[in-house]
Amino acid sequence: MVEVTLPPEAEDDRAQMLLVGAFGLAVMMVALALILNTAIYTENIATRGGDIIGGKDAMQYRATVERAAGGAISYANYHNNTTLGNVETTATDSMAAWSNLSATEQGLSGQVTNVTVIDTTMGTRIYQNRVRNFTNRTEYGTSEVNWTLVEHTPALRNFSMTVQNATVGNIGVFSLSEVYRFIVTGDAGTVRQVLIYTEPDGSFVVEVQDGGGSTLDSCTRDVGSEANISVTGATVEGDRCGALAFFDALDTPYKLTFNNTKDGNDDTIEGTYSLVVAETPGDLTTTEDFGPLSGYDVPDIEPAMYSMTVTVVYRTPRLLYRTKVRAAPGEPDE
Amino acid sequence: MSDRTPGKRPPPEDRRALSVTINYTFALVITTMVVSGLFMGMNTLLQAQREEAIDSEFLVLGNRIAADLAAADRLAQSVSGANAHVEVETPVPNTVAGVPYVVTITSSGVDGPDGDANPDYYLVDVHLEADRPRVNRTVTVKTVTKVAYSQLSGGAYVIVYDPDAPPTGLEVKNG
Repeated sequence: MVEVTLPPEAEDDRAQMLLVGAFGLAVMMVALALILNTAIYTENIATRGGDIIGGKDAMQYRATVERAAGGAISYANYHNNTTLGNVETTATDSMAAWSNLSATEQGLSGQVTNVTVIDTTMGTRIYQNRVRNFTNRTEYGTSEVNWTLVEHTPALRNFSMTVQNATVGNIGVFSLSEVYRFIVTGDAGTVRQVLIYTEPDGSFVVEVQDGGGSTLDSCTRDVGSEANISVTGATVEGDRCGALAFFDALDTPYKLTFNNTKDGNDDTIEGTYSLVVAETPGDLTTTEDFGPLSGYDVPDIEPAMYSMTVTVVYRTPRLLYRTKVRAAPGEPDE
Repeated sequence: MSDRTPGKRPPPEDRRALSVTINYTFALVITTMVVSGLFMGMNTLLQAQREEAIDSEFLVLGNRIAADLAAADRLAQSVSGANAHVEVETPVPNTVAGVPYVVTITSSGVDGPDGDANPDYYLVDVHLEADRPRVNRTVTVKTVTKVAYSQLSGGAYVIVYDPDAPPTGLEVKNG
């Protein structure tokens, strides 16, 4: 018989080689699995998108603080305006209370916030609440046709007026130089005159001229019995009037005068108005033009807060955001 | 001829002209060569996979750092005042697939058509580099705030904006 099988000893040796090889390959495959594992983790990280750090929320909170500070100022100006000190205390206490409330609310979703008042600017609110002509304080039947409301204020905001359409001068009857206008003068002598009149066809016009009398821009509207004009907001009856956006051309301090409040025939423009200036009643030089005056309806002044500056801190696990925010509701856009 | 020692068998006679010893040697050598070939192939595969994993992780990390830089830039533009401060934390692993790496951040200003000397925006390069195996990747992002040069190893990063302390502008630091 021919021996075709190999001796038994040889078979065992060859199997060991395969075994060792297999073990080595298995170890290498485990190493490969570990490497690919990090790739899976990376891909998972890559799928996370959106605003992980909370940056958008931080900026939204900043806008909310600005609105809240504006609201605190308005509330204090309206409700607690007996003295300047009262206004300031009410507004700063309101902000402190708001900061606590808001911190509790934000804390529920994992953010830490804080708002502290660091500075306030006090001022005066000049206003005429009841419909009346636009002259100054009437005493014993005398009042000035042209008068200055404020001589040199570092800033003014929230200037709006409502005029009775029937009392507005019609340029079919009067000349353009005779109609009512209010004049804002800047520091370098730049002048903006804002004329208010009606056309012969009945449309209501707000025209802005420079110091020399040349027309810069105007807005024409059809209005009802009353026309609401927001000077700092540059709107007439709620629609944008670009002509009124002239404050960027003027340097502070501002001077505001009302001119041609009465014409020769005693026909006068009537309405109400209100504005806040950054001069306190103690610094205001025109206080004799204002009330109160018993028995007469007159324009009046009261203490008010002009602006408030706060520090906002907003923290999330991955973000620290701290900035200063100044609130002065109704300030004209620069 | 018949008195052999037990256990020992005479070598089998065969016509293959191949003795058992050579057969045995061949089998051993061929098996060794096949197995070591498999080892070497596996090693190459491992290296290639490692490079790919590092590269893809660099892509993700680079884009994450760039996104956080862009977010910090937007926040930095919105702050104002004396104590304005923005800090953004970017958690970043120490090693990538077991390999340490270095992140270099450089920026260059680009002047726009507005005519003034200040750059309108900055092009920021986030460059990640590993040494063994040699893998690198660069991600570019545009910012409006200046970004300071920094070279960092892996580990948690903090992007800081403090207009009062130098360097004014964004800076990526080891947090």
